[in-house]
Amino acid sequence: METKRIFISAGETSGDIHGSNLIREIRKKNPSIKFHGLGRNRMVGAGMNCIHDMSSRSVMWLHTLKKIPGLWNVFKDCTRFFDKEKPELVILLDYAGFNFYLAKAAKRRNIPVMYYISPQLWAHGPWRVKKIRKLVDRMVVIYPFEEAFYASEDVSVKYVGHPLFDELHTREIDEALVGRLKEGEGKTIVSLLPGSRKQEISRLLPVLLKAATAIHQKIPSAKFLLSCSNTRNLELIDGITKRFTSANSNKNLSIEIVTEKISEVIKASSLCITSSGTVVLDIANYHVPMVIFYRISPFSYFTAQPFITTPYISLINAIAEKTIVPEKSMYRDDYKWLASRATELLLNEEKRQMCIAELKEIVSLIGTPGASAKAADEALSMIE
Amino acid sequence: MTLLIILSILSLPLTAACYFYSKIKLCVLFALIFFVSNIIFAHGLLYEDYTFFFYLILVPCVVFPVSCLTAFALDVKYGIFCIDTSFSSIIAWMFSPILLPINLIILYLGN
Repeated sequence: METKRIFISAGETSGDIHGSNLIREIRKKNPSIKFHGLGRNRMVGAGMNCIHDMSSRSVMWLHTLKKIPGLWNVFKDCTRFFDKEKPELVILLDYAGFNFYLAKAAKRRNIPVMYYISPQLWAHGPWRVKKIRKLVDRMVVIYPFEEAFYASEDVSVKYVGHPLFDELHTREIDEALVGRLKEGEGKTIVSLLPGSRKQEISRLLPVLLKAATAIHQKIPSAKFLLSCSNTRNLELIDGITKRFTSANSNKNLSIEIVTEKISEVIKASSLCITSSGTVVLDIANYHVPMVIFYRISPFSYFTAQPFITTPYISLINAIAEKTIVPEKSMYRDDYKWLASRATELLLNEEKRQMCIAELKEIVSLIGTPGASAKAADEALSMIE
Repeated sequence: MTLLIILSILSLPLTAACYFYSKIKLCVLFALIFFVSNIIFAHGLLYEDYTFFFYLILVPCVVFPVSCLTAFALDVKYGIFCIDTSFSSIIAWMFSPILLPINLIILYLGN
């Protein structure tokens, strides 16, 4: 029997996680399939032959311009692979800017394209759906409203649920660590989650640290956990935090950096202050109230504004179609807003309970596991 | 000349405001006023004595951003490019406003 090959491409950390789960599910159903593509350590761990490691290529906005020469080389290597190996299927995970190029290259060579985890066209740049219609054979989407969005645009689409919940249902929690993080009588634990990209951390962490100081002034029993999603970012996070605490007059402010233990950090917390991103679903899964924000440069804020078509920056509020957790997109250090919303959710029990109840409702709606297995079925149906 | 200077200066913030609030038709109108008035402005200041310099300014400040915006408009309408063309608006906003300060500096130096 001829060995089938699937080319798979993921540029972000989250894409690497979901890509690795997808590879495992496909291999469970058909162990003979070979995987090649772009990703990171988890996809390689799941059995992918890595054409390029994408760890250092995850960037946004204008920073993308600096990475163009490197990405061009990656693209050329991928097209060479398409020509030489002729894979039976190309699976693309999010990372729209680059993956659209791969979709076009695959389409030119008559290789079917499945797009798993849609770029957020419903939030900004909906005109890109025309490209999807031309370049992609099947969209496999993870939010219920995306199915209706693509179906209305005559794109072949299948809703499978969010793969994060597959991961969360199998993730083992270090309860001893949760217990240790909660230590301290009467302590209010507030976790700070500045994102996973270096440029995000540099921009968001100073705002988070200022907000932490303001919260501590109002709630002196507050203890802060700072989540570092990847050891690669530890030096950066540690450096920013040390510079901040040495310059800060409040010497009682306690900030503990916790590396690669995001679920434990969230579970130990009374409240999370987080960047907008998939992590908000992680937080919602543990029914922890949160304040969501994102900070971009004034120029990016200005240029992006006309393209944003959703009133919400976070997935939680977008899925709920109402504001159930406070969120704000900002272009300056509006840490006072973060501190006031966080304090409100910590001290106003009625608001807090209402927020928790609504988060439970959202999770009951989208938190069913099995997305990766369903996506694997879709992929296999395209090559068998 | 005074009217030209006023148009050149006022049309830029008006374009920006219409862009920010997604008033696209007005934005295109004010952008056209901005480009046309500033090209005439630069032409009056430079063309006769410094023709090469006039064209040298026009390429990055007008031709390049207008080409980008045209590509973007075509992409929005027909989805023909696989590249994420929303970058075109960023490029346009980086390059086109430069024309105004160049004109004003040359005018100042000329006086």
